[in-house]
Order: sequence, then structure tokens, then C-alpha cells
Amino acid sequence: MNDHNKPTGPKGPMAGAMQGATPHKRKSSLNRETQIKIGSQLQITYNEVVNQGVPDRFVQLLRRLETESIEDVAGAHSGEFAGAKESPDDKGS
Amino acid sequence: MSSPNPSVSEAMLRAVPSLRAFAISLCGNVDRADDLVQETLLRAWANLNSFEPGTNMSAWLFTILRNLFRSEYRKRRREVADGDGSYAETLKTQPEQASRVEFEEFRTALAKLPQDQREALVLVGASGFSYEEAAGICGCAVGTIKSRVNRARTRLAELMSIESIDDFGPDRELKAVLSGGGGSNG
Repeated sequence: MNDHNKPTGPKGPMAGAMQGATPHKRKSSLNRETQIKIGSQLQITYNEVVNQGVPDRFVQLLRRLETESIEDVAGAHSGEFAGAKESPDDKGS
Repeated sequence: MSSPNPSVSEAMLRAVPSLRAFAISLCGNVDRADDLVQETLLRAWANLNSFEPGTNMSAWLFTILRNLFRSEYRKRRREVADGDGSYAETLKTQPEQASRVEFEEFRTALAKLPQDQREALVLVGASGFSYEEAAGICGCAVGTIKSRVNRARTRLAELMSIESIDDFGPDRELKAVLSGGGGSNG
């Protein structure tokens, strides 16, 4: 807590990725460099998760859904967000 | 009960990685995000008849996920407060040390955005949805999405430029250590 670590690593692949990422086209008065930074950091943050692929639990879940009844599968998997069997929340019209 | 349909489950599986990324940006917590994705898949499967074939499966799933999160969020608003540092714990793999401080700053700033703005920014800026698709997912007008995205970018830029002013003090690294638990590298 009283010590602070200086970031000592060399510029890694991330540095290159940040420069290489394509920013969104902008016309606002925001600092361009900041915009590029925001756009690429947002994408890198997001893609860190995307690149983890599909965790096995979801493969198993869909496999079960293909072969068993939804009631059985949902019953076995009721998690934090359970209660999914009320009215469907589709396109919030 | 829905009839088994491999192509539907394939399409759902293909959407899982980006659903997770979106869910994490909403919850700030991997475990809750994965539960949210799971509930999304279950609910989608149970309501396949409300999916219009030929439309965007991914957008449909995002809509369900967002609605689930919203209804859950209303129930437990206090716990969801997504303060500094929770993003740091969400990701097992950290960027290189040199850029890590910047990423922590970015994630902290992102977590500070109002939820409406954050989701609009993520949908358009990272998930790759058009403004129209994002408006469909969020159930609002296209113009609303555009203004939320713009406000999100402006706010992030403010937060980040304020933080970069601290570059010539120790605060920057200290803050990263505090928020990222990064004092134990090596």
C-alpha cells in the first residue's frame, strides 16, 4: 500500500494492438488521441473475454437442451438469475 | 417443448463469447455474467417460437440478456454497484504490465458510466451492432442510442484525461495497485 510498482515491462503485443486498432470515425471535438485510445481499449477489453471462447458449461447446457426437456434442464440449472420461466422478455416493444 | 434443432443451438453457441463479454460489461463480475448468459440461453430456448427466423439471432439473445439483467438489477440494485476495482477481478489474463495501468484506468472509467451509456457504447463500439440494432436491443430510439454513445465517449474521455493529468505523480501507479491488487507482481 505504501509502495508503488512502476510498470517496467517492455512494450508488448498490446501496445501494437492499440496502435493498430481502427478507431471509429469521429466528428466531435473530443481529443482524437483520446478517442482512439477509448475505442481500442474498449475493443481489447471486450475481446479478452470473447477470445476465451465458449466455456464447457454452455456446450453441455445446449447439448442437454437438444435431448432433454427444458423443464428438466432449467430445473437442474436454476442459478442466480433463475425465474426464467415467466413471461418471455423478447424484443422490448 | 421445442423440437431439437442443432442449427439453433449452434447459432446460440456462436453467440456465447460475445454474450459473455456483454454480460461482464453489465455485471462487472464473471460468475454472475455466466449465470446471466445461462439464464439467457434457457429463456431463449424456452421461447424459440418468438424468434423470427432469418433475423439476427445474436441481437435477439442480447435483447433477452439485457432484459434479464434489467429485471434482476432492479431487485438487487445495491449489490450491483460496480465500483473501482471490480473490473480488475473479472479478467484472469492481464495485459502487459506497461499497459496494465492504462487498462485499469479504462475499466474503472467504464464502470463509472451510467448503465444506459455503458451498454450503448459496448453494443456499438465493441459488439459490432449498428445503431439500429442497438436501439432494438435496448428498446429505444436510434437517436437515443447515438446520444448515449456520444455522452459515453465524452465522459470516458473526461475521466481518462483527468487521470492522465496525474501522470507526474505517484497516484497513477498507486491507484493501479489499490484497484488491481497489483502489488504482488513478480
